[in-house]
Amino acid sequence: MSTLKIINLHASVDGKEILKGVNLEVSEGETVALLGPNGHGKSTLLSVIMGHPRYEVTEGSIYFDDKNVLELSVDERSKLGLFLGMQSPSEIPGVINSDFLKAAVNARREKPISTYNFYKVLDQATKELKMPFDLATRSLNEGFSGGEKKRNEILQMELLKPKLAMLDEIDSGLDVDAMQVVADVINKEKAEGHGFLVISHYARLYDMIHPTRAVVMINGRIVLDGGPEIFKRIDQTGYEFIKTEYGVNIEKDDVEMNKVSIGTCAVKESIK
Amino acid sequence: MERTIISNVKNTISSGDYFIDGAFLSGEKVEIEIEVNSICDILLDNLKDIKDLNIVINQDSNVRLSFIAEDEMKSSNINITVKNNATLNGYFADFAEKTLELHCKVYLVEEGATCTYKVASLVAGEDKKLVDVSIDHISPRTYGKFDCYGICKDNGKIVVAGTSHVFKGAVKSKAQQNSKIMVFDESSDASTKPVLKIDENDLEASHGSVVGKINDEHLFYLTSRGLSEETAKELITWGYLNPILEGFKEEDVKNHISSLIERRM
Repeated sequence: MSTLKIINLHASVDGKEILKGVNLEVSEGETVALLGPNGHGKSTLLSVIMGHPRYEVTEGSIYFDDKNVLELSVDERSKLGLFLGMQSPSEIPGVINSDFLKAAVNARREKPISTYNFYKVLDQATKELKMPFDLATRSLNEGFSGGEKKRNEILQMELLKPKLAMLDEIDSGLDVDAMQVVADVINKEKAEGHGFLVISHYARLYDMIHPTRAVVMINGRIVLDGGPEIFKRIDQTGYEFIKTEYGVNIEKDDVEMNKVSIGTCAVKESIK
Repeated sequence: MERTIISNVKNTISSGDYFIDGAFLSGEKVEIEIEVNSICDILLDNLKDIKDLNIVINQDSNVRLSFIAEDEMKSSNINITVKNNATLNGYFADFAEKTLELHCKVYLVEEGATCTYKVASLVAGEDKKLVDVSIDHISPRTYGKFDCYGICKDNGKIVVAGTSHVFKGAVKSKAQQNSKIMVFDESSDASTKPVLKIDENDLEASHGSVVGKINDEHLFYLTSRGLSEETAKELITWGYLNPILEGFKEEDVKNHISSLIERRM
């Protein structure tokens, strides 16, 4: 079973603890909305799962497919079936997008894919995402618009077919039409049994991909786990009810809810 | 189009594509003068065998000078004089093994003379390299740009020295330098020495110089897609060095350079 199990996870960056005991389970094929105010650890959690070297795990464990994820290198985690669609994908000058994509596809194959077959698959995927094919022949993310970068992340997800895709504000920078295109690809992958853990500040994306669960992260912990009604309520009323109804004091409540939906970068704020 | 082979010590050439094989001019001081209003593409191989290479580019001419180093090159000197409104575009693909020492001096002696000079260097193993490029702006409205991209790994050592000298009276001239050396490991050593000598007030000059390790974010991004760290570094190296290919005309030469990069990676 491709279940993700996170047990009492603590992680720090530059000596500052961001994750303070995260417990979370995402079962195979589930689509989970990960919510929370800015700066409370959502992006950090996804980066730690993927193995970003900047974060130090100080306590706890992560299992995926019953394997101890924390013992694996970043590429091994990817080949195990984890994928992180990044909030700010790196621009890498000179590395041609298609060379990179082909290397990524080949990394999980015993026999390298033929050039013909690779371009056939790539052509189909770029058409599905309504991306100009020339993006594949340019330097990786260099000079891409915000929307093009996000589509390129989804293109990679589409080619690599991860068992669990973690998408960090994949909808920021996308117009409504592009968001629908991305949502269609996510829904197609969902239908094939792939799981998702999705951070978004917009109810619109969640309305399109229909999460089965919503979890709320505050003060570096998961404080609420329930059905999709949670993100609808947060979208309408903000996080105030978590204080009043669940007695959780929001430690870094520096951004009001009506500003949260603008979607500023949480991770950058927290690691300054 | 076939290249005309330059086999004499003293040469005056007009528009066309040329090939110089230093092996046939071993130990000689080679002089090439490009006639006015010419467009020339010169491919140079085995520079190591030539004592000195002196090139004069006359008025309104445009010259591309491309060369590759793949063997040891102890000390090679190139001197290029660029005259009125003439242009030099230099490309140096350095994949030499062991020792390399290149001294290239460009003199922008007349108004409107232009020089762009690009170097890609891969330093590995026990390589010790010195790339020394200087551009003298002697007359008004001259333009000089030096770009060097390097990878340094596995105990390699490289010094990149770039000097732009703007002389008194060379008004409205523009001098630029950019050096970026990526160091893969602690045992390697790279340094850059960007020098701007300015004797004129009315000019534009800038230099950027970076020696640093591989970007952790780039490495994380690539490995998060399943690429091993080794493959990711190879892709980054390739991306860093392959823009030099634009300076070479023939596909078989480009392929040869690509194979050199792959071999040395």
